[in-house]
Amino acid sequence: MTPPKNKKTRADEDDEQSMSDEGVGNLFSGGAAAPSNALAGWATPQTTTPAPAAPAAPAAPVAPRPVAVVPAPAREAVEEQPLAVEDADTAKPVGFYVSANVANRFRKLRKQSDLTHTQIVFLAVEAAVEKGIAQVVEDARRAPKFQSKLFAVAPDNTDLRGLGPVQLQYKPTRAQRAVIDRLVTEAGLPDHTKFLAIVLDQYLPGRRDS
Amino acid sequence: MASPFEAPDPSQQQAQIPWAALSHIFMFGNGKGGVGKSSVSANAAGKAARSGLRTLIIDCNAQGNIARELGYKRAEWNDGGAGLLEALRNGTPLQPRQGVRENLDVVMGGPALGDEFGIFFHTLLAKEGPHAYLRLLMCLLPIAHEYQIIILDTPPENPSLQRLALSAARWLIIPVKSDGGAEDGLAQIGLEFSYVKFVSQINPHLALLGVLLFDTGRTYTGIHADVRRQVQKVLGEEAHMFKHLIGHTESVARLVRKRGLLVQELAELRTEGDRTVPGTVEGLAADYEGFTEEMFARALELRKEAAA
Repeated sequence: MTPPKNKKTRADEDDEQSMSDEGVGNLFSGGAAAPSNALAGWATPQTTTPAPAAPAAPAAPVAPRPVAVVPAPAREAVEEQPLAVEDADTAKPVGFYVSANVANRFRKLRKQSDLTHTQIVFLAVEAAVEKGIAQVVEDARRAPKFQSKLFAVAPDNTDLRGLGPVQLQYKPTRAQRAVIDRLVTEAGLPDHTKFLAIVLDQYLPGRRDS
Repeated sequence: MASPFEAPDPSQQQAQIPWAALSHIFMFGNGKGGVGKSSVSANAAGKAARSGLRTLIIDCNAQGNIARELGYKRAEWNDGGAGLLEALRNGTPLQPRQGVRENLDVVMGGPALGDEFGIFFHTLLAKEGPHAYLRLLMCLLPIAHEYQIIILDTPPENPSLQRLALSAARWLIIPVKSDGGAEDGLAQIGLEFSYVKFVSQINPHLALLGVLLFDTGRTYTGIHADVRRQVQKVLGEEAHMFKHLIGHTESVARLVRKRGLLVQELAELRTEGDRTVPGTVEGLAADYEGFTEEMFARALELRKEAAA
């Protein structure tokens, strides 16, 4: 007769009980049992001098900012699982279009620094996040051709500094692309080409697009 | 631009880091998942805290495993690792959540340590080279002296987070299971250990405290001997296997996660008369007691030897 689902049989309980009741094995070391005051020894300070305040980290420390609370996504309790490694295999070349000026500055940095295309793009994105996405977008807008005090003028997302006809490529994984897509949405831009073009224009060394 | 494979300037590093004051930092790591890193981390931290030691546990997992072990997964203050990421990004001191248990504070892990961390750390590494691996330690230093025990729980197969933790830790404990396949995980963490200690010398004081057999049948002596051979084959003859092991008790393992309690806490409920808790909890609680005593005693002994 099959026992009800999730109901342990007497044999299962006995098995666990016998495994737990057995004395602790002494298979790997012949050393004496740990003293019961093992933890008491850690209550004593290690040195007379406590660790000093942190020295300057490569990134200049700033006053702690309020921690943004990220609601934990709802997940069922699951057994500890190994992290998926498939994302690394999802990296694919992705093209985006920039002005000739941006493309030249991109290639110059690539030669001088030996960074990959992908690394340069990520550095530019990171710099944009640090500056503030909204500010980056605002700085990329050219003065509108039509201005009116009476009528609201919609922002022109086709006339941004950095955009142009030259294609560059980078190779994000699926997960990395998802992060950039979120930033594109945050920026209020229609696609990632415009986002990457403007962040690169503001990040790359050299004269920015006028 | 610095190469990630280039050793940092040791004189610059040694001038900044008070290594002598950091021998209370323990890391649980393995290249393989599901071997008990988070369970043992949480229960060892709980044991230290119950003994009256000011204890900090840092959850370096994108899955936020410690939240499950300590029962705060759905707490409104669970920031999913955002605080840790923010500190790493800015190089500012860690800000633990205090009082998750008496004497126990937590730096929370979670989804923020996934993709966002990956992009951030990728760019930091390109900027700083191997020195970037000291970022976690730099953020920990301002508060390290406030604690008597610090425990790092790390994810499998994530070299960046493992190296960050290895660069901060003094002691590495590797839990393994006896169900086969231990070698791959041992080899992976062994490579990261070698990189941090020997190749780049980012943390020359790092030491392997020992290997712990987790979730195993107590009477399976032949299998235990086989695991010992695997450990010695991968990590060397001198690799220490802890005398105590954590026995297989599936019903209790499921119940602690369901209730968000540590094993000792569940055992106390049983002692108080809660018969929904299986009697096998007492054996498992004894396993954890024995192991954590052995772990802290061994570290204390090695610390004294090093100081002598």
